Amino acid sequence: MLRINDLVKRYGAHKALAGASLCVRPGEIHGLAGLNGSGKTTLLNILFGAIKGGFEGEITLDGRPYAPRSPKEAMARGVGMIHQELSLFNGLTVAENITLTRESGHPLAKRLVGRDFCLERPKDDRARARRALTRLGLSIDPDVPAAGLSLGARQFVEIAREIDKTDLRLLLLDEPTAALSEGDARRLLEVLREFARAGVMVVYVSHRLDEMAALCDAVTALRDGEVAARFSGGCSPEDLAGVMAGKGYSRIRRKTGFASENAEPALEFADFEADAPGERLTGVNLRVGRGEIVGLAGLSGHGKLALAKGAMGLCPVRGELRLFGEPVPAGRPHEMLRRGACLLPEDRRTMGLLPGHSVVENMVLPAAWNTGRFLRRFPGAGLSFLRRRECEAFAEGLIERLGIKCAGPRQRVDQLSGGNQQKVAIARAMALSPRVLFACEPTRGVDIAAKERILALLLSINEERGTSVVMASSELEELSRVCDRTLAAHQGRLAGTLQSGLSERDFALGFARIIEKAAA
Amino acid sequence: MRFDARGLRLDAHIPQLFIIAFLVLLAGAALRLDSPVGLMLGDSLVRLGMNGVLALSLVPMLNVGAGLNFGLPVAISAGLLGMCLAVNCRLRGLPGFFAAIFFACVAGVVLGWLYGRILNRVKGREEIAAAFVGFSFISIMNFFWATAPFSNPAMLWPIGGKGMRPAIGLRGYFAGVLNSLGSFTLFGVTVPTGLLVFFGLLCLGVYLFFRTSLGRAMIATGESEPFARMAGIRVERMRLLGVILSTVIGAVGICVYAQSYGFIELYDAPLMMAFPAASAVLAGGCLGGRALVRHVVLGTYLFQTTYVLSGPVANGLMVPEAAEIIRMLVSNGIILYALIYEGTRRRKHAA
Repeated sequence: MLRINDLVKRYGAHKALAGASLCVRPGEIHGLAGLNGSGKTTLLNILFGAIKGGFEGEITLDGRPYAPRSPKEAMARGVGMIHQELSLFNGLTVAENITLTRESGHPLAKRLVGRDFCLERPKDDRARARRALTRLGLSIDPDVPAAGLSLGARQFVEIAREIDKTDLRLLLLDEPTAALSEGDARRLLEVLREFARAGVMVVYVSHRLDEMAALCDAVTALRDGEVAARFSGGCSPEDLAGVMAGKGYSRIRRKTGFASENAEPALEFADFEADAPGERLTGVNLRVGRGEIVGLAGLSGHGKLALAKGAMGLCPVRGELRLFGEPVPAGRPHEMLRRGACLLPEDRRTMGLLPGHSVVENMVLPAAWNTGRFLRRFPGAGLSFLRRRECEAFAEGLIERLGIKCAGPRQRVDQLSGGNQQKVAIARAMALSPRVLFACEPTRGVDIAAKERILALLLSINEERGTSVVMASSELEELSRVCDRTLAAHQGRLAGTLQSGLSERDFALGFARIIEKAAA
Repeated sequence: MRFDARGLRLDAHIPQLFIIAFLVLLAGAALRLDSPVGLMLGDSLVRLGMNGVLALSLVPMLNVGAGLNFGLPVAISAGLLGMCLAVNCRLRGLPGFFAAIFFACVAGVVLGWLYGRILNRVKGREEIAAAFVGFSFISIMNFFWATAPFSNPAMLWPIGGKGMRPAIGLRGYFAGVLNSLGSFTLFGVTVPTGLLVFFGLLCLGVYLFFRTSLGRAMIATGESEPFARMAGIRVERMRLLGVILSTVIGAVGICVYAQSYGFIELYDAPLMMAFPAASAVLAGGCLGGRALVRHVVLGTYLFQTTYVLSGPVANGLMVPEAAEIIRMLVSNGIILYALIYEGTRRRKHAA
């Protein structure tokens, strides 16, 4: 039994948690809902001993007081955590990652020289890793290095690491399905239920409310560090959304018949093939019309993200690509940018942002470099200075329009929360005034309010400027609302097309049918 | 109005405050010992100017993400070549000095391009690779100096008349042309105006360069290559440019150094010259991430001044031989202290 009473965590004057209380019984899956910055991750980090500087309030775990000062202490009490940011060692194999610090050793050697110095038995480790992976329904070879795995597969390996622990009492999950496609997510939820049946307490944080409503026995909704509502025994996603967002929450939808594939082509792929790390897409024959929004759906690792990377010249490609009728040379991102194409990458921490730069610099630098916007034009393009006032005015305008929560345009971007960082990345794309926008997982890891805002923004970029958008996403629900048509990627091929105008349920069914047919 | 994310924060400069406090202590001791403080202050200004350009030359490579330029000997060789050409043509005074700089820049671009190509192949291990490039390049240049067809007898071995001397006197050519340009004496301190103005102009140039769109693209490359590539910046080209820039500034730097020192030193002399320059930048507060001109100026001055002051004070207070030991202890200890301080601070920050 986990009991939390009146938990307060201060950062300076700011209270990340302002007196939150909750209680989790053995075998219960407890959901934590809330917008970005509502204190969910802080709560989990306190429980995992990953927060320094102490907290107020009291926690008991299985009847004994619990105040871990380090993850090591937390693990000793049987607490495990799966993080939002993936934390695998790239240089180690899958099996090594799963069994790290808990490697099997020769029993005799263990007794003689102790755990730390005894010889390891990699064979046992591999078997354990395979067992954990099989429980997740995964067929990853435990001997491959973690570096080459796709994001979804990496998430599963991380989960397998926790599953491998035998003394697990409390499992904390921070957005475990954010990087997973819906099919993968279902598989994970199944595993969590199994855990709960075995008596493990599960605390589950997610932005996917339908998932939470379906999975959790009880849900606590946080708002600004306080408990806004508690649900026990069943709640609907709408209930949760209402409580989390407070008020003024609505779901946007694309106006149908706005654009069609018969419009003049913006992008033409012919026998196109892209080989992105972790996923491949081959045999693409596709026309994207001007002003059209094309969705790419698919399970993780099946190639939906490869198209954008290949088209932008960020990974090896074969075949032909035309942008507004002109052939594009492969492997030249700057050429694509100069011709009006732009990418919103799915991995915003390593690729989408300059973490040590300010919000305004993140927004304007690529536009200044590629299009000469914001530059003073003296004495040559490369040696021009920025027009600071114009940059700041632009940044302030977008901060307001996008609702970016920050101290100002000069705040460092790595101090912002995930959703706000994504908005900064979108502002960067907007500064480039793209004619073609590739958006990869644009709403990953952001809360429902920010998600609606981001989707609305994509639509407004499209409607105001006639920008063609190619949007790859794991969430069928958002694709069905925003895209003119959606292509389903399966095993590295585009397996079929879903038209717009379907209800969300029909859309999901249609997708499942396409995948089944392709697999057969 | 600050535009960039990083402002001047006092708490980020505590090691520098400590070094300054130590300097004040040293200066006080020097006064008590009746050392010629005016002379030493003038000396510290000269040392700032003559070493500052070499330290400044590390900035472009640091900013583009190629690490500390331990291959500074490559740049220095380019500068030495430039000066030898100027002396060989018997060019004297300021025109001779600027001719040397011109030749040095040309050599710097060529050598920098080759050096940059090498560094682009060893991405991630630039610093150690650069050190070895520097060391092996010295040997190549030794061979060159021993056989180069220069003809001015002032540069050649007096006996035999073939091969370069290890040290070529610049008196009569351009020794001290910058130091004496517009120099004046105030309260017993001789200010090397020309030298400081020249250094100041170079600093201003580097500062302004990194505000241009090209400079900002280089900084972006240094911070995140995936971002830079996605933003249409050609990463390899930026890195090459950064290395060339560093090499050219380093080549100019050794010309400034040599005119102040009065000699061109060939053969193994450049072997260890990268280390004081790197130490100065570190002592100035550049530890990981972006290097600023502020770090260079502050670091060089602090580093060189402790060097100047600690010798006489140690001589006065202890046995004469102590001077050199104390100097090494102080100057290297400062670096270690700055590194440890920054390391601790960053660990606290991360937690």
